[in-house]
Amino acid sequence: MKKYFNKSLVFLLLLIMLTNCNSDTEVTNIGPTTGQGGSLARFTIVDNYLYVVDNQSLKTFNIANKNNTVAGPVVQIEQGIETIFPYQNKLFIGARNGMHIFDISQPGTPGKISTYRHITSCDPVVVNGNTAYVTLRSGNTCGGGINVLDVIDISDPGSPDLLQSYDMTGPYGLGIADTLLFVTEGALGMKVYDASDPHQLVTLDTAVDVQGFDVIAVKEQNLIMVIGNDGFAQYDYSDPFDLKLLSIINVQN
Amino acid sequence: MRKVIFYFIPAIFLVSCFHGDEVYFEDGEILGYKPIYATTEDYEIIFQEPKALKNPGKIYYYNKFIFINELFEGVHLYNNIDPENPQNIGFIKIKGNVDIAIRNNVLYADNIRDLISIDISDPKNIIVLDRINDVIPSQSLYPLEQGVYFECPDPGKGTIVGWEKTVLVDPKCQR
Repeated sequence: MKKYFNKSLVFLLLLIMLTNCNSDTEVTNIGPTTGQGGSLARFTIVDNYLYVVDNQSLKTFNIANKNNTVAGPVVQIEQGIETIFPYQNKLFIGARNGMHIFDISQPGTPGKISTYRHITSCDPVVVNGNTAYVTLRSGNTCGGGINVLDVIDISDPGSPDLLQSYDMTGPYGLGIADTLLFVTEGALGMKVYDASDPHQLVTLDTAVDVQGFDVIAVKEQNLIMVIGNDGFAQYDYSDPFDLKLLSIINVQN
Repeated sequence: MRKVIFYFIPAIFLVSCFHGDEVYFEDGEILGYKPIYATTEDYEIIFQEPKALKNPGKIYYYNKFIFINELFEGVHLYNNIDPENPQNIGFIKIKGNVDIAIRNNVLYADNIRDLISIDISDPKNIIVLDRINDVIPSQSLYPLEQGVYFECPDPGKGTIVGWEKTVLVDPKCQR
């Protein structure tokens, strides 16, 4: 009986200690973990590292100690770097002349795996499973003359392979939630595709409430957030054939 | 030494080449741009009352909070517990800001050319934790518009944060 009592006491003490730990972290209003950026982001955090792309390089910062950010290695890539997208233990870097894939299985020391070359243009990238989706947009600051969505097989990251290219009008940012792909096209709104077959993307719906240039898909909530020059809109995509507008924050001039 | 001269002579030729191609500059009063230099105020990170969206940039989502960048000015903070009714909580003034990322209640942001980290555990009482100087390239080296005159930047006056349209006298720079 005494033995049992002792065990219970230890268990109880442990439980109290644990509870204490929890209440320590719950002092905050905004909870822990890492946030989520859009496809046009130039900053991204994976584990204890912040990765920043500038026009020509990839910079690494160790952020393990919140009071002391430590600048790490700078990897020169090439001119025209625009976006960074993390997926599992890789970084996908969108540049004017292609998409670069970096390995970060050794955190903080990114190593280049490959480059997928394409025509000069603006090109954010998102990734799901073995597939990367890249939009190419022509324009004054982008160069080039094509507007397409490239679907790329990255099952061998050392040798990315174009599966299919789709004509677009003027694609900006994009987002992915499993097999649902969201692409913003400015004044033409945001298109929702069923991307289960990379060779045959199917348009399911188009939302034109804001002139979107980037999106964030929040899978846990079936939520898609769109930012445009004229405002910010949120949709429930539970029924991808018929997005439900939840709210809009309009730009005020 | 001989090597140095070997490189030096073609270099002189090159320089004279550039002079030969010099573009024509008008004298007198001309409409153009003058640089706006960063002031100490531009490095102050302050939480302000909610503001309307004017010139939105990128978005970031963190623990049911939405951060919407106001281009080169800072970030709007919204509580999005109810996506049908996001609540505008306030504005974090971060001059020159374009990008952010957040982990464990620390927001990392570009503040002109610096990388800063801000504790946002209590958004209304933000604390700047760290700052690394000059790791973000300047986005405003030249006026955005092309084919214009501008006042030549003076590095001694600090970092350029923007350009202001104004009347210039005998400008010596154009693009």
